[in-house]
Amino acid sequence: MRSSSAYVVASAAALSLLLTAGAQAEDGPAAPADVESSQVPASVDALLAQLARVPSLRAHFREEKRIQLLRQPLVSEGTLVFARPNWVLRLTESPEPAAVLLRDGTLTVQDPGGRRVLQLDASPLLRGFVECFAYVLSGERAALERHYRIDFQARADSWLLRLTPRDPRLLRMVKQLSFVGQGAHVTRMELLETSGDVTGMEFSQVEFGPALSPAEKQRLFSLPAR
Amino acid sequence: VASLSRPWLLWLPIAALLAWVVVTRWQVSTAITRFLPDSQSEEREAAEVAQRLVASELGRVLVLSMGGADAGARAKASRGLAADLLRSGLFESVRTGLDDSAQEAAHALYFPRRQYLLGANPERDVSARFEPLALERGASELRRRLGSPMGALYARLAVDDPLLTFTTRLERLQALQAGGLQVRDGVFVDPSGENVLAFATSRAAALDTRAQLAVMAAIDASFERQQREQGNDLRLEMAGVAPFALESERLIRADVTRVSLFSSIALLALFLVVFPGVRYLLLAWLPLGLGMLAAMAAGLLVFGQLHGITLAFGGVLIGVGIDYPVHLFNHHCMAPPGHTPAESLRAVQRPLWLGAITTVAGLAGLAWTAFPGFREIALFSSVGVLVTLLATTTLLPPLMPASGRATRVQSWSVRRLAQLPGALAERRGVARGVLCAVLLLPLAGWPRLRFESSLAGLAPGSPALRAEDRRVREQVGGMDSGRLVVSTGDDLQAALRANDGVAAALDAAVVAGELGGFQSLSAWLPSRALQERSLGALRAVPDARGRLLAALENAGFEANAFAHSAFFEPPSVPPLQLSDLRGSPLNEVVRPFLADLRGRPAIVTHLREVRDPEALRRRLQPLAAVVYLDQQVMLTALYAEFRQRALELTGVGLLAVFAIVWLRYRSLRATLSAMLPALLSGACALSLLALAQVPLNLLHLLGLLLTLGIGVDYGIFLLEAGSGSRQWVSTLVGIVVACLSTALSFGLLASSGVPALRALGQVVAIGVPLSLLLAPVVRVALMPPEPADG
Repeated sequence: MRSSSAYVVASAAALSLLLTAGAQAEDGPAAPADVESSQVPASVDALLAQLARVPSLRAHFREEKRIQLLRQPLVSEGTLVFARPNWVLRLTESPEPAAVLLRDGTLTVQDPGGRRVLQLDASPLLRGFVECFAYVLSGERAALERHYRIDFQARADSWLLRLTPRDPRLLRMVKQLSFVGQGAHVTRMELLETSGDVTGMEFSQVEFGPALSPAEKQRLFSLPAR
Repeated sequence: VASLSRPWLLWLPIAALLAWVVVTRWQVSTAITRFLPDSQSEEREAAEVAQRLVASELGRVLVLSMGGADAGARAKASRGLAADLLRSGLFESVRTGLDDSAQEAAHALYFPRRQYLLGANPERDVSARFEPLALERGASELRRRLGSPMGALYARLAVDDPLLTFTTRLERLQALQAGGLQVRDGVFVDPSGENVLAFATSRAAALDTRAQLAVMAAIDASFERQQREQGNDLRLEMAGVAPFALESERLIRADVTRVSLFSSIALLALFLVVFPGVRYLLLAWLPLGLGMLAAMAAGLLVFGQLHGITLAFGGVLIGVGIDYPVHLFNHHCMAPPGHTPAESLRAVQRPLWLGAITTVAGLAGLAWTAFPGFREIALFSSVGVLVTLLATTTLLPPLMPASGRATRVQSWSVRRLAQLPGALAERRGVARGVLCAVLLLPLAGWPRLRFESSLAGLAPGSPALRAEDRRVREQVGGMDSGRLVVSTGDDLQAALRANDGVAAALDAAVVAGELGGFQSLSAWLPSRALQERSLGALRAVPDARGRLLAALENAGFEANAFAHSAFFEPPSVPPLQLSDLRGSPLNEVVRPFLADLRGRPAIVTHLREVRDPEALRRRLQPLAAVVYLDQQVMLTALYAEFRQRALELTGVGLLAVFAIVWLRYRSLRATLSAMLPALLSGACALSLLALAQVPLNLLHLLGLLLTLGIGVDYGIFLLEAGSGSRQWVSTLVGIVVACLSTALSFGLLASSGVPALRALGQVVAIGVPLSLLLAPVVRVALMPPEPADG
């Protein structure tokens, strides 16, 4: 009976992925020493293990979207909050206030145009997509391999993780996703669309937080009143 | 010997034929709509639609909800249940969720047709979209969406749908479902996420209780399997018509069985005490059995089915029809030695026929009601009564002992009662006093009579079953199961056009706050006419392309990129049709909206949170071929109409009885003496219930009719027996026996768990014994004393 929230939802997936520097990771005690380690992981396995240890984080973001339909890039800035396993709140402060909340399998977008609620897991494709991203952080490489071709490069002081969708339906929209980081810090995310549009997101002032209690999560991950 | 065997020879093939009819056509219904009038009123039309919906595919849908265990186990259980049920072959379809294919289908079907789908009122909506301010807003919304995290999606569609008509349509479809079903792990879940939901459509009709038993057994078996595999803490609840039908049938069947069993035992005891030998008892059952059989066969032949309430009435006939053999036997036993059965029959034949005819006349009023259920009861009872009497008079005398002999109880009764007429005659003053005193009871009770304002008290289903049904329906989206809008038409397009009108009216109602929301097929499939209007409206916008491009340019877009937008080209496909959806995974989405009402397509719109039913009715009133079904209001209105009619018909029935009795005696005094006991006891029964603060419903009125029928019989029997005290006394003994058996049967009904049966039992169990007590009193009070025959 549920409407096919269809492609809106599919797209939502794309972005929910983008948004989340975090996402699903297995619960486990944080090991701040490891997490704070700025050592460059030698392999994708080492990287995934390191990311998985982040219980929660908060960061400032600056996003630049270069869209062919627009004469000028769209630039927005704000705060991103994440808590394990897959709670994300993106609060945009400029150019106009907006909020995107991902929790309980639901993505809610609130901007001056209104509020839109999307069921992320209305579609197994979408769910697989989001979960694939979670696999990155939970270190489930086999599952990740099932959905993406992975390319990992360790550089002098940073690492680069590139994901290319295997599912042709997703590939029609997303050409590649890449993450750049230092230690457990993701410093930049980039989405390259098949159309040629590029979205780049820089993270700064990244603060790792402790594991949150359910009550803290409820309080933190809610949309601002309109 | 030949004369002995003759009635047998006649009755045997008749009985076999009747039994064959009953066995081959057996069909029991419990639809309360049988008890709604079938006049051409608006309510009747609504009731008709409601009844047909129950018979349609929608009525066959069971909503299965599973809670407990964890989300993964629930999802697996939902899929496992669906697979089992489909394998059983008992289900036409089992829907547990939507997958990618539905989403792709939505894109494939709706995106190329976006120009056909520009609003419920396209002439107004489309030109409004191209107002300068609206275009500016549209352009900045597109820009905002491109900049949002879902930008990648919108970017793909932006050029060919710059006003986001497809996207907003999908969002609207989603909003329509708000608070309703969601999909997790590919299966439907309720908004809390705690329950998985499946929609199972059985092949068998919901009211086909025999087939539904198998359906329930299949569900139970599969559910137990899911529990074994996914965890014992899984719980299953369901909503639908079938569980109510099954429960009603089970309750009615249990009651009828119980009443039949106990009244049979009681009658057995009574017969053994009163009559000499078991032979009389066995003989008494013959006409009863034949009467029942004939009644069932007649009901099945005329109506194609029997309602549970009608059948219950049949069980009750045992208590009424037994009067005839009882009177015959009683007279025979108490007759002077040497009286043959034929002579005994002659002595009682006239009062028996007169009694039966008045009983039928009293019921016959029901046959002219607009209530099919009551016509069924009238036919059933009339046939049952007449055939019972016919069998009593033709079949029994040759089988009875040649000469009767009174039992000790009979002799004792005669001795005691023989003094009664004399004693009463000497106390006519007392009798009149008693009569006046009895008249006071109705006067006291009448002002307290309170009729139930709705049929809710008679609604089927135990509180537990109703609560379960409500819980599951709330999980499915809180759609109000009692309130629907149904659009019909001669063909599908006509129905779709009517349905578009409904959607537009309901949109306005939501805006006005009269309605919380609704689910309409119009959102998925507007009529072809509306779709063509939409395209026409877009084409009618002057310089639409130029105006849009200018607005986009102003909002910072590369206008050139939109220059060849397909949005302004003719659509590549024809308007959306039902067949497009039928062949796609979205068929599952649109199915619940469609019903077939005996060849006429009907489209159902589900309503949520009706806040102002009257305003809603006013909005829908002007729409042709549209019925607003508010079950509560409908039943209440029908009930009020019914009550009025039932009272009138009781009056008409009484007049008919009066006329018959008067024609027989040509004396007002005699007629009154025959009828007054019944009238008084009926009034007293209702008054006593009123004083006991029992709210009355329509079955109480039916009970009143029955009481009058039986009570008048008593009056007539006594009147007919007026020629001598011996005859009078033996008649009185017969009435006592008959009354005891009736009181037993109805007393048992009065304890029934089915509200309808209980109501019926209450009135008769009080009224008939009262008739018995009042009959001699009235007789003595009104009629001149008869000379004793010594």
